[in-house]
Amino acid sequence: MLYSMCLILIAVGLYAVFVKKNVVKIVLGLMVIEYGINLLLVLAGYRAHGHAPIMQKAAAVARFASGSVDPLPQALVISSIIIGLGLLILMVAICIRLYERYGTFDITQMRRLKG
Amino acid sequence: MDITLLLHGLLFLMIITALIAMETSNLLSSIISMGGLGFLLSIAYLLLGAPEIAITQIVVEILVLIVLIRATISRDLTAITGDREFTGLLFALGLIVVFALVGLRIAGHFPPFGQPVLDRIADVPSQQYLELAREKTGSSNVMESILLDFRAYDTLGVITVLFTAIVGALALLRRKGRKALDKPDLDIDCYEVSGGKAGMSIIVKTVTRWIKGFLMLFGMYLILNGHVSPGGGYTGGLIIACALILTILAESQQHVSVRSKVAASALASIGALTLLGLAVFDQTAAGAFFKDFIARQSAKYPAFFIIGTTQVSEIAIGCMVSSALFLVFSMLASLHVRVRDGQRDLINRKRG
Repeated sequence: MLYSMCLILIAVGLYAVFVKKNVVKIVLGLMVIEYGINLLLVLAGYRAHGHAPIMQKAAAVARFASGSVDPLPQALVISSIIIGLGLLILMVAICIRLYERYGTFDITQMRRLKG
Repeated sequence: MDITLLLHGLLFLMIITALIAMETSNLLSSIISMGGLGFLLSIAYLLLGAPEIAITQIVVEILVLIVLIRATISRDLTAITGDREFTGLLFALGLIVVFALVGLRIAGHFPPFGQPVLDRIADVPSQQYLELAREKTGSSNVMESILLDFRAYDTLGVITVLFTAIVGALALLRRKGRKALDKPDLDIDCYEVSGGKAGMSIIVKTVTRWIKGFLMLFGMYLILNGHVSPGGGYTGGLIIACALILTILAESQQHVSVRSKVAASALASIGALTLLGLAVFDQTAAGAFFKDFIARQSAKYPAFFIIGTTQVSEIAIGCMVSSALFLVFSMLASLHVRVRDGQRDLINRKRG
């Protein structure tokens, strides 16, 4: 059920990307997709009543390893969040330039080519 | 309270927030709804035993809000309503239906919630990382040891992508060399919206001056303690960048000197190159890329300082992330909005 709700979140983002006219809304839609996928990955790595994958100083390794949540999806997701920030900055820069060239955020007005 | 129930509630709220963000006609409120979505997400991460991702998500969300508001403020003069053409809409809905069908099939193959793969299959990589992290890398934060040691290749790739994206954004945003922008028709300074050219009010400035040092200190603490507590290069670097950006926003944009921009770009390059150099150095010292040669020499677990290559790469990543973001934001803050002739009247009317 949680997974399908994540998929709904991704679908909301897809809907915005496909249907919306405003470029900023499309960027927001891409972000919603990214958030949904990140959450899906972290959800898949959760162990019931598990703790964070950070070892206390005196903890026994075997007991720690059998009670921790999966650290691999988390490592993936933290990279993905950082890349998402970089890409967002790039997309926003493109949006600003598009606005300067066309005077609008409306994607249907951006059809004419200008050299 | 049952965590599953709580997560259902959070996800429901997230979907609602996302729908609000997509459907409001006012761009500013839709961006702020995105902020709400991000904070809900970080609560969910906290519940799921991922404190490091929760911290990072909060900081990233703040930066996202600043970038998006900076990009759209005083620009949403024409409210764009309505959707694209009907055929496009139909096509989009069809694609979403296909996505839903495929996604539901895939979700059926996911492990049931609460039972990760490492519970069912023996000796998956995650299990080995959990068992060997402290012994092999000296880092008791398993996530950091995966990021910076076991899978440091990936991190090198991530840093490359981030670097490329930010250099691309800088190339798009720079003003020199773009002759078309040399004589703008109309300048709307970004600080006209919030307090004039001299920066924000004295209250904001004073609070910023007080809080700046503590924020930087916290960021450095997170970078240096990434191997024993939630934190690390990414998170700490983002928080330091936040402190710097707060200063840019509170003071005027003239506050950012050229010298500090040059220093920031140098620091970003040094950070990225250090990571690469570490890989090459490991190749010569230990015989493999990103093999930890320091931790192997000191088998005992030292308390705080240099305990392995993980910490060196954490510092490098922190330098790179914070200075690159600072650079981009100083660029964004000094950007002037050039508006076409047709819209000048609209703005003048709005101003007057």
